[in-house]
Amino acid sequence: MIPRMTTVGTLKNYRYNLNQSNYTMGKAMNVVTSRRLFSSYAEDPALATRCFQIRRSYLRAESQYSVNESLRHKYDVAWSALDNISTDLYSRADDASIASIIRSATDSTGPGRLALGQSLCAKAKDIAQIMNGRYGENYVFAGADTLNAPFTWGPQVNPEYVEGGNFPKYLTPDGGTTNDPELASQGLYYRGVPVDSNNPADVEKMEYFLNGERKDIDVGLGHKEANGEAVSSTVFDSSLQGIYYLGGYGTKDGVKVEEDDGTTAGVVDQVPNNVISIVNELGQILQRCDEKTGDWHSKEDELRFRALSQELESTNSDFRERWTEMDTQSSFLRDNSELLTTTKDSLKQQYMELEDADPAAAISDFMFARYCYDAALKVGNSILSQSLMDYMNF
Amino acid sequence: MGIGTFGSFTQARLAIYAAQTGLSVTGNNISNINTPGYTRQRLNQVSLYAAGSDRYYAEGDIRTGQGALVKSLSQIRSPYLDIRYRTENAKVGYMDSMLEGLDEIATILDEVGKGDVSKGEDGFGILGLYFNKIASAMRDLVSETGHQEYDNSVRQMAANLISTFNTYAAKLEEVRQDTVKKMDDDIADINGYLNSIRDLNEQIRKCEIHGDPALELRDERNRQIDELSGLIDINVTYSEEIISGGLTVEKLTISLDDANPDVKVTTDESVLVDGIYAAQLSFDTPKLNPVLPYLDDTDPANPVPTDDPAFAGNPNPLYLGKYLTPDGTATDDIREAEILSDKDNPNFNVMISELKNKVGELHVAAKAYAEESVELADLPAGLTFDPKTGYAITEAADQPALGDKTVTIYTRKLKPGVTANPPAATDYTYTKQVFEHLITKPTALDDNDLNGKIQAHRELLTEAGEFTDLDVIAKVDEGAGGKRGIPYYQRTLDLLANQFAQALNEANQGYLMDDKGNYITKGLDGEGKEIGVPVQVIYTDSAGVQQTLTLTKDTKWEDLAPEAQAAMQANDATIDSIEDYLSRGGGKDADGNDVAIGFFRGGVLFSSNPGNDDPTGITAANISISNTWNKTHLLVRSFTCPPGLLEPASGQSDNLNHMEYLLDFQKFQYIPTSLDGHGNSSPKPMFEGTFFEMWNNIGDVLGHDQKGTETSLKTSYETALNIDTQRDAVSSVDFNDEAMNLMMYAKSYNAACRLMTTIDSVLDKLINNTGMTT
Repeated sequence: MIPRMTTVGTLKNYRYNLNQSNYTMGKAMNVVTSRRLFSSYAEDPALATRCFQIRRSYLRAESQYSVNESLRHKYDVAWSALDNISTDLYSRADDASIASIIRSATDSTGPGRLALGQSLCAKAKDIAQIMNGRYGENYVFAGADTLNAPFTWGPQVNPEYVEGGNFPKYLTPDGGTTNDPELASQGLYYRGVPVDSNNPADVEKMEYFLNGERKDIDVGLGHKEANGEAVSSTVFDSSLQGIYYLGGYGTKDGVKVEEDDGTTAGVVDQVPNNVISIVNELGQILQRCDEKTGDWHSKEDELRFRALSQELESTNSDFRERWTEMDTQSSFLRDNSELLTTTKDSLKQQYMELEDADPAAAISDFMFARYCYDAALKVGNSILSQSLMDYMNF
Repeated sequence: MGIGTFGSFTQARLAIYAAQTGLSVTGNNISNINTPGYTRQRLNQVSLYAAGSDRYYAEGDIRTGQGALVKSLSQIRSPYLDIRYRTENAKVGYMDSMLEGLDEIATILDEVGKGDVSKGEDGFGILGLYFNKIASAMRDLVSETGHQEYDNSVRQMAANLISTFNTYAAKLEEVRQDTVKKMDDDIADINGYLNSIRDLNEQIRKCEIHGDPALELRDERNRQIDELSGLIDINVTYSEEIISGGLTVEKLTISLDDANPDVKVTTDESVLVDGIYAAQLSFDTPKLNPVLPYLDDTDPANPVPTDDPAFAGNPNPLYLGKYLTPDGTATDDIREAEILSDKDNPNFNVMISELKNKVGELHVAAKAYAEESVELADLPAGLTFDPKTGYAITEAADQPALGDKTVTIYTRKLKPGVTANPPAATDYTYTKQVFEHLITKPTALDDNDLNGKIQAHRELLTEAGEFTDLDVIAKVDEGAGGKRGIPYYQRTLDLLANQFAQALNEANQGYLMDDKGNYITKGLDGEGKEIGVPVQVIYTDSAGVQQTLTLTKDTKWEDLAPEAQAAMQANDATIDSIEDYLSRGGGKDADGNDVAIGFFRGGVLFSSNPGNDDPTGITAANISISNTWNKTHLLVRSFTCPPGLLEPASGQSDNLNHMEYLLDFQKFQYIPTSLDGHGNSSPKPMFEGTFFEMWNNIGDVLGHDQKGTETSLKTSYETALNIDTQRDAVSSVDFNDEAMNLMMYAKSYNAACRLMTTIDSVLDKLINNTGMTT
């Protein structure tokens, strides 16, 4: 039997369908005006969740990019500092370079040697000052101690001094020793630790600075932790230890001084490893020369001067190697910056593709929904106008 | 002849009357086409035929009908479709209210498309964005450690984050309060409908007794039943009620529609309306007796009280009833129980009151049991049988105060063939029949006895998903773990806030260590300067050998030798952890203060109150920046000191880096039991992920709940609409139909008038012109 379609039933169905049509049009209009394909989790929970994850990755990449950029600039500053130091130390073309000064010191007169000595000491202080340079408010070469100047000057520690031992703690300007810091000559300190000290407590600290201390930063390498500590390969160690680039710390024994003919003129102990200390001591030795004749203060001074000059020359290759190492790190940060930029762009593109409505499609959908709604309105008018009542004629 | 000379006039008159009445009914149908609930009416007419033989009827005469008789008016209605519609309408009511509630939650927790457009942050959300921003701020602080502006930035982001937590929690509570109000309104609506239907039943009953079918009243009653079916699922039945002397009227009974899937539960079929009696619903609940009815005898030496029916064979002797009366005694009669009102009814349990009529008289149910044979020996002593009727009646007042009683009628009959006079007692056979006269009782409904709008509101107010107490899942609703209402979203948000605070609070507290992970204490170098040295405990082991124990971050108290523990307790016997030893292992100073061995750094970042540093009981509603963090720069950059030093390097940031990892990468397990007050809920992780992922998951779960409910609502609504259309096909007015009726009755009316004219003309001929000559 054919169901009986009544006026009331037809109107009820019509109302429902008209409402649906209006709702569809409203949704289509919402897409056009908001330019979003969905405006709530309920419309597409899986897609909404995914988009939020992508947006989160985007924000993270943006943050990592910002930190990476800051680091990159810090490395640029560090690279420039080393460039200046390289010129100061090793340039043969520059008459003011330390290498040139040392060459000229051999032939100098008494006053000339004293002046050159003063110049070398000043150069040593200049290098320390350069290494105390800052990027922003942070000291670049201070390792993790970024708020404090890494290189300072203080009473020069006797390399033979060991805590609890018999040697006096400090060296005097004339090459002697003393326990009175007031009488001591000026020596280099790195983060409060005497650079030329062989005292085990000092060596332990230096060893930690060079090999144990890290300042890890998340620059998008997949930051992970194991046992509560960052996995080193997933973070970037941003600590630049100043002594690392300048020959390190402590002294070495048994440095042979060779004559031009290849014979050994002598063997010198406790020769500083650190470039600034070497330059400083070269200056101190020159300043100890006779004011008038320029003669060496002692045979040991002469031999030591030659050993120190030799050592300074030999640090050149290490210096350049570490400088290159920094250059590599700097390049890595530049590459990483580009990578993060690409990642950001890609993520942004991805979430926009998933979320943003295609204007043409959205407007077409809206127009079609509106067309359907208009048609539904017209149908409604027809429903209400037609019945047998209209054709009755008594 | 079957009809008299003027009988034809009656025939015509009846025809006119029938057509006129038909026009009137049609007019009424047309008039009420827009009246809600109106059922089209139909005129029932029959052909009038005088039955029986005339005593003097003429041979060859033929009996004809005597016209049309208007017999009655009836409604065209399908009870089957009514049942289907009301069942579906309950589902629509449930889904509609559930979706409405979820949509309200979504206005708070759904951050899709939200964000500050002016900052280019649209689409990044709010709380979700703050999770990202605090991680970014922490990353910046790692890079710029020691500079307070970056420290402040982290704190500000944290303040924004917790402020959003607080706002969302407050808004969720508002939604909860609104839902409570809606549920109160639902109860009031239901009670209004129940009373109104009861009153309509009474009016219809009176009309029926006086022969009026009361069609309009029935329409109104059906309309109200339809409305009621959206609020609760109901089962409507009709029965005959004997009034007197063979007169019966229809009785309408409305009961709950067996919504509870547990077949043992019968409260889900409780009667709401029984003719002129109706019950009322309330958020009352009887006070339950904490003493459980059975003993779990799996350990005979120590049986444990339980309400598990599996142990029904082992009753608890201390159990005296299910409920407690106001004076604390046990009872099984709910009418004697102490009734707890709203505030003591957090589960929003619903109670159905006694059935009462309009003037407040209680409904009495008479229940008759089957007649059964009784042996003479089993008859009660002193029973006296009426010699005429053979009956003996006993009456026991079971609940004198409440009116319940049991009447037993004993009947005796002589055995066949007995001639003794008087007969002996053994000459009879005996039967008994028990009748109970029970006064109506209130009913406390089970958790799943309802459906419809009110159940949706109840579930929105009570369902906590994975936070549901396991006892509730085991004994009340096994599906409760998968149902999520406002409490679920509140607790999930609480859990996220709590876990967030706990992780960062833990990360920001600890003792200083050297580069090798040894806890450090103050020592002196060879020149008398203070330096950091490892914390060491010297003790003599069980073999009498002196040992030196260096405490590291990996040292565990429970792994230490008893002698080492004893040595560490030398100054304070209450020490029972490494942290205890580091904080007070040095005993007391002259002022009675603890002397620490180690160097504590940091403190609580998030507390449950901005005025203190209390890290316990943190929820989304109360999470605050701790008092100390508000006043100082409390973030610990590192716990690791370079060798011999007593402070970490000024820019060292390994702990900040760790916190950044916690904020952005660490996947946590979110376990419901870890939240205060939910110790007996699911011990399984409900989710594993970062803070942001957990937040995203809340939106995802909500989105799926909304989508699923919306789909179900659409399906149920379309089904209900379809059934309603089918009902309309049967019951509603259609213009075409009525136009046809109009034409039909108009033509009939004309024809009847023509008949009248014709008969008049014929009789005029017969009376005035027959036999007349001109």
